[in-house]
Amino acid sequence: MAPPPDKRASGSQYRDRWSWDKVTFGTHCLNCLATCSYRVYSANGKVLFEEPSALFEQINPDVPDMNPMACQKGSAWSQQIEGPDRLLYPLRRAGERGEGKWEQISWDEALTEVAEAVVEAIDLEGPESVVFEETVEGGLLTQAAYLRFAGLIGAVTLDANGLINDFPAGHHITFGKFSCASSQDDTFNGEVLLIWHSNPAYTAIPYAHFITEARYNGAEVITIAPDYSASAVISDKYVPIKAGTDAAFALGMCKVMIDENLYHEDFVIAQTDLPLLVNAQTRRFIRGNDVDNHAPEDQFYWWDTKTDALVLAPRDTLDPGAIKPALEGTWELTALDGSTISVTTVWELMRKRLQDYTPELASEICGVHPDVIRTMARTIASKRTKILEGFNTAKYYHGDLMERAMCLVLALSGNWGRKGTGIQGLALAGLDGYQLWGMKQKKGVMETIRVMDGIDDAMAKLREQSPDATDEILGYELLQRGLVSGTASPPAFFHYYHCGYEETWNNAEWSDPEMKRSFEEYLDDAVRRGWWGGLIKPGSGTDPSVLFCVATNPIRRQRGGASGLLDTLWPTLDKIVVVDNRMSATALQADIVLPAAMQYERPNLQYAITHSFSLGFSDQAVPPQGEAKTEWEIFSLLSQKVEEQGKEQDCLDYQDGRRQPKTLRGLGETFTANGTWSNEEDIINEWLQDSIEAGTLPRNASLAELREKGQIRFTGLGMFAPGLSLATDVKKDEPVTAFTWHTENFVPFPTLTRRAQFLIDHPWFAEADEDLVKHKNPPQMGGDYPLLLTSGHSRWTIHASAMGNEVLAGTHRAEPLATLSQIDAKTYGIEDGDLIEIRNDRGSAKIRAKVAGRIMPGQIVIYNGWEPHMFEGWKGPNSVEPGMVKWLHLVSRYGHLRYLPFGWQPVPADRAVYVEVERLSS
Amino acid sequence: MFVYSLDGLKIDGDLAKDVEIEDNEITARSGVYQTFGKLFIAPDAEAHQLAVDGKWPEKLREAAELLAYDFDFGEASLDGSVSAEDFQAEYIRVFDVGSGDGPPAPIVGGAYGGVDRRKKMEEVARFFEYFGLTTTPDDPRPPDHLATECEFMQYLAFKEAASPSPRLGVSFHRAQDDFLERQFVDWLQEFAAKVEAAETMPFWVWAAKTAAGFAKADMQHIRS
Repeated sequence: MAPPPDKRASGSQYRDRWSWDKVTFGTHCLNCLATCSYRVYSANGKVLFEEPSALFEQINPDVPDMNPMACQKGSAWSQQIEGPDRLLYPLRRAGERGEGKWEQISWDEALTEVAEAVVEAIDLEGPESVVFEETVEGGLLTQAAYLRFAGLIGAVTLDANGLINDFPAGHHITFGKFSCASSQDDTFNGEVLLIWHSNPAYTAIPYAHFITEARYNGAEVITIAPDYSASAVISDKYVPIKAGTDAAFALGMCKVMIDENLYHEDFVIAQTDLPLLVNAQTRRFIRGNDVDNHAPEDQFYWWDTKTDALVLAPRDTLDPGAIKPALEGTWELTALDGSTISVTTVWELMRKRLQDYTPELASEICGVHPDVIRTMARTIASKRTKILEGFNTAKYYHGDLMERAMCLVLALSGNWGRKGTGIQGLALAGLDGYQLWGMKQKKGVMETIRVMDGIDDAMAKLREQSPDATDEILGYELLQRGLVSGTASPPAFFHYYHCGYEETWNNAEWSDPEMKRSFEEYLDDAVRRGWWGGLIKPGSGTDPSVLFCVATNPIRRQRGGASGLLDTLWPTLDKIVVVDNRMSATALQADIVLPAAMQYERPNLQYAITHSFSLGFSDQAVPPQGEAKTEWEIFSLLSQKVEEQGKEQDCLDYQDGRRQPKTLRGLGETFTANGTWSNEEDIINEWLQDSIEAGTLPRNASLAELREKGQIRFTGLGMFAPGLSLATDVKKDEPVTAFTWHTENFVPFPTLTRRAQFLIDHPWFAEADEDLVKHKNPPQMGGDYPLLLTSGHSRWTIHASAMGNEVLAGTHRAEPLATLSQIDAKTYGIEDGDLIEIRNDRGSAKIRAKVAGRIMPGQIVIYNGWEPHMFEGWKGPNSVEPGMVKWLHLVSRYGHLRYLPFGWQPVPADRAVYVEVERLSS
Repeated sequence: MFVYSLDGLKIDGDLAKDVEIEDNEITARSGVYQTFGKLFIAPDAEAHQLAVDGKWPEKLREAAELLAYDFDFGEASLDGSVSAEDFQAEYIRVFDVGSGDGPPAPIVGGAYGGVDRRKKMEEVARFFEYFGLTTTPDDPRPPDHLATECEFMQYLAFKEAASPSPRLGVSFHRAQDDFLERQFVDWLQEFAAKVEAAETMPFWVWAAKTAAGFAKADMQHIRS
């Protein structure tokens, strides 16, 4: 008789689980600004698990390294490969849009149907009727694929930052650029760290260790937030502030610094526009054409205290040299027309403005005790201070004012361009090969050098016109000139003209009360003046026909709610095409859904950002699930199909929106440059080689090196303006500290005045009393209601990408939550877990309540990422957000206030919406 | 007038425009690599005769006439009693095939440094491709073959000399440095040591040691 089987769990059962036949590197998504590097273990074509590689080298023995660079989302990423929402084969809508009826179709059928729609749109409406929502998800290969396709056919790509609004407008207003974050390890060098409008312990987990390490290093960590956040827990001080009042708090500190003579005078004089002369009556800068027949309009002036005379503020350096510009005083000048002008300095105007922000007055607005304002001002003025800011301010209507006020705090305290100082935000730089590739017609170094020489020639021509301009300034100029012929468009115009925002954005009650005209009047004025000429796409008379959403999910994300899209845009579209790896809310509302490969299923590079200052790499560990394809393959095949359809529909030659000839002849071949870029590896290799040529990657950078180490540290800022905007030398053994060129080499800023600019003497800004920074309450968006709804990134998902991740779902309540204070809960009779309705004049949403003592009374927080279909009637928090756009951001062609991709443009606000709540049931 | 020549590599269409250029110190370097490239191809009757006549060192010296630094190519000749067939057979024994355990001194870079040869070949091929070259389909030599890599160095040096754009010149100059460092110099030293240990004809020992020595000296020069 055979012995009974041994039913005990043998050790091998557990050991086998950890057996693998392949180890690759992986990274995930961009949105926490980390370029984590994981080892991905797979066997038999299945990913088993991943773990942080922890291979980032320590560059300096006195500074902690980047390791482990990981979080729970990345560590559970592989669960999503076979997740319940994973797309495996092409789908075609079988019922009404959003009805949920689908049929499985072949790739050939799917691509043919999409190609038919694209060609028909080109034929009937022109190529600008084909619109792509830009995305930063999916990595650079995703973006490269659809941007190349869109560029070749002349379609429109809606600027991603205009859609997601991670654009800190106040940084741009002040510095003429927004890509200014030092590498995250520079946090360790700070003596004071202000966690302000951010929550890194939740949303930037891979970098949060630098905060703790800085504390061990003696730094004082202060969290300024309305809620006692997870980051407040790891801070030395917590400053509770009323939501949306940060500008008042910051200006209160500025007032103290000036009154107590704590400000860094030399820094202020050299780095800022505060000593520049202004007309005391009009508050406009004294310009060259005011006082000198031969001086250019963008020449500005100081009053030299040594000679007691008007002097030119040099445009080619921040260094005042032998001049001693006055900060204080009033003088008289004779204008060209013979009249007498009373002039003073921006500093004097600012001092006058700050009279409204004594600590006591500021305290009345922001709720922070005056003594705290005084103490913090003194601390900041005497210490290397860094503001750890996320993208929360960017999403406030008056976030630009908060950011300008923060920048003023840093200016007065001399806190940029030194180790451990500055303001964190976005920084995009490093992979110049990606930029060059977009301009290359074929592969190889000869073509690269041809492009680089061409850029040099163009820069040289610009330099002839502006001999005192820096490379950064000329780089932005060059970028500007190329924009009109590109595909990019700031999406606010698209939303206004095609998505039904007229009524909302013209609602005066939800707008800033200081607006003198309706939003539409400002918009029409801006368009009439040609401020956005060539950038409003689709152009006049063209209706959108085909919408591509590649790894983007507007139905979840759209500020102002999905109704604008579903009720207004959707009915006008002939075809909605979603390319994604999961069945997102937008996919559920599409006509054709194409399954894309996800990370671990194809080689890919992460967005080049400077927070880790390393290029992240994700390799192919397993084949794409089901019939999924990489975006490169999808758009390569689609190019062939569109060419075929062009022949079939007799629509091969046409004109783009600028009436330039376009052709579909040879589109399939052109897309891959005759097979040169037939796969991801070829493209990555080219980007790496070209980045070496541009000096942003070390000479040993290669695909093999990435496969060996998982990431490569950048070596330079490269040749393009967004990289140069960091304005610093890259050293192999130092964290990257932004702006040292400005402070150490006195290199001018790319602003109108060539200095960090605190006066915007544009008439619209003056009319709004925002020519100088001030506090303004959030406008009454949503109506007159008692609670202020705010948001932020969730701890458990990056947007909606991990909503279907069952491992992560097990770590939280896994359903939408609105967090409110115990006091408000008591007022409204709400208990933890109750179903409540939040509502305002815009709409309503039903959601479970989470009652927490950490929330300030008067505020309600709904972290983002929940898919609309997780709410009754698909009504989530964006149903109550009007998505208002600040009219002043329509200003353009004023010095540095002009459109840049990812940069200056009107963007919608989704924070600080007024709502009321009602308990529905337990 | 220096004229470059490629045997194991094929040049992209547009890049083939410049075929000759005035002699100078850079073309001299290109010429030396060109000569080494020919020396390390499986020898035919002509190569055999040159070896017997002791002409290979002379050819290298001629190519190196305008070299900006001194390098001693030495002297070497093949014993006249060695037939062309035996000369070729020895090349195949030492470098290509061996007798059972593989060749005692493989003539491909991927065999050295404990690397994955497939990856090494891929990397070399990508390097070639980026700089406008592909291996010719009808040539049996792999991309990491010594003769092919010498040809590549010849090409890079020539393009540096012929570059119409200063930036392109710098790029080709830097490419030589990178290639010497990452793909060439190290394995060549190991290769020379193995040839010396392979109990082969002194001619091949000379050839391997001279090539290894020149590559090292050349890398030092272009870095200076």
